[in-house]
Amino acid sequence: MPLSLLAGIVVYAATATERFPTIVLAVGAAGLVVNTVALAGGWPSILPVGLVGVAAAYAVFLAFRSESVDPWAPFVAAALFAAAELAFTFLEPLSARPSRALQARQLLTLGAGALGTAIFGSALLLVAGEGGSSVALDAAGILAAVAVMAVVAGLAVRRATQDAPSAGQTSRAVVTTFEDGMD
Amino acid sequence: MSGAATPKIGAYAGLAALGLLAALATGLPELVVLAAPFAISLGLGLLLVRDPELDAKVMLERDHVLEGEEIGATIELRVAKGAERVELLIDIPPALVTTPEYPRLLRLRDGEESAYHVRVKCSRWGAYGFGRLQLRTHDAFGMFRHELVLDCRQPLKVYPREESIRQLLRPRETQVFSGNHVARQRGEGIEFADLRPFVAGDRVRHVNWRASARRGELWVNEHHPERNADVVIFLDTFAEARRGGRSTLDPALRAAASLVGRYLRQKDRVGFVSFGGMLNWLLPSTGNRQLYRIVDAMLDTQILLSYAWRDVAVIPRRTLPPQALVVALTPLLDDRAAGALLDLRARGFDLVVIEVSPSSYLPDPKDELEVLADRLWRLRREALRDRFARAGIPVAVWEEDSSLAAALEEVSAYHRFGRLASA
Repeated sequence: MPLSLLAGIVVYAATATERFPTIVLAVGAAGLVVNTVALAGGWPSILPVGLVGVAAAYAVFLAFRSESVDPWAPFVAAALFAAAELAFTFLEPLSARPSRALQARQLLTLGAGALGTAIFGSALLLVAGEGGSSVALDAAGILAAVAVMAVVAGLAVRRATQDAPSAGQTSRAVVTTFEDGMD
Repeated sequence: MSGAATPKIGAYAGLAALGLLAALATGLPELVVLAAPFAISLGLGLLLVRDPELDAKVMLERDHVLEGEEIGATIELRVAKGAERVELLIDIPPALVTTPEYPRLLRLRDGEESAYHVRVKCSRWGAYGFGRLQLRTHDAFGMFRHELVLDCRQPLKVYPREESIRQLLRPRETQVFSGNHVARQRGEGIEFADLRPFVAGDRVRHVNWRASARRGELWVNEHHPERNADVVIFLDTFAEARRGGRSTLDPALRAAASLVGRYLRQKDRVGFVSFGGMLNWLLPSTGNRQLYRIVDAMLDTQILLSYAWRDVAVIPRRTLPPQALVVALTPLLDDRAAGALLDLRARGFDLVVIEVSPSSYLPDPKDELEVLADRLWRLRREALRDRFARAGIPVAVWEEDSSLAAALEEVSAYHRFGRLASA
């Protein structure tokens, strides 16, 4: 399922591009191969590389595009997000199969996330299309991007500090025991 | 409790950062649209993450069962702070099997109180603790997982099941208290022993009137009194033969438990010695309390590898009372156990050896060399049995597919024959 979504993005980018469809296809295919390897081998650490590859194929398509804004971008974003969520869920080291109810709930949450992405993306593109381009807007965009990343980094650092085991805590032992128990 | 970030958090941060930077560099708003869901998901995941607070209680239907029986257990979970997905694992020893199988994946809401019913099949004897729960929680965004261990262990004793016994071994010597064994001595009892002339002080009701009329003087009946006996169950725990989940210790313990129960029901004093890497003993005594004491002591029995030489001198003297019947259950795999048994016989104990045969636990020989090794091994065992026989120790080989009653009958016949020969 995640691979078919990603393949859909690559196919869309390769068929909709006005120039160099081979380059788009090559970049996208490389991303798909990396994703396939990550899913087959159970390596979540290389999954982002594959996702970046697929996103890069779409970015190449956008770069060669003469029109200002791609109206299908929100759906591409929704597909990419859904594929990433599904791939990480697939690679999650669960020791038991989820029940049908839990699976349905997960799918519902994923659907809501994808829908939210599409709606939010459409709104964002609408704002971007209406606003045009100016130095002030670019500066605001840079500031917003930096602020978003700073907030995310700050939260991550705070969580890491909270989760660090204190002296005498045997978190490693607990993790080891759990792994043993699952075997 | 321990918490850890999943690989997803780094991946989403990287994707969001790369997307936003690429959007800034290229001026393509579509790339912001691509990066936005990852950034939002990451932000929400970091903001909403929390440590779960769970408490559990484990209840067992019974705290003691027989081997092979099944009991019900209830796991009650009280959730102060829940989680989207919780993996619940019951840490159980391999001898216990749960139905339905665990781990299970659950969703636990805040304030929820839920109960899960489990059937536990106790396939092997032993003393266990049931109810150590290991939980791994995942947050809604899949960014963090927490692991916690709730130790709600309840003691569970699985007693060995009984082997069928038709007739118990009769001890050669009896003790002074009343019991069910006909003593060799003469005294007050039911079993007729002999006739003798009347002497002053004899009771009139013991006069045999028929014999007196025939002989023209008073003759009285003599009887054998019914007495109890001292029995010591000697369990060899130096070595065992094991295949899969089965071992020679299992039938030995079942036989020991069955013999202890039956002898105690006959009002005998029963003691227990576990002789091996770890020495364990119980002084002979009578009654139900002694039965439970011995069976509880048996549950702690295990084979501990030890190279230390041990002989019967290390066993406390009161554990082996004089004239006691010693029933040894051994796979005859260790020279120290064989030496100790020969030593016991040399000290005058009425000793009976039931050999729990390890043959069925051995793999079939594959080549000529293995066949030869197997033959040599069997010859050595045969020689050891012969040594026991020459020392006057009856040995019965108890194969896995035969009953304990047959093995007991075999040594019982030898026992009777030995007594006649020595008389």
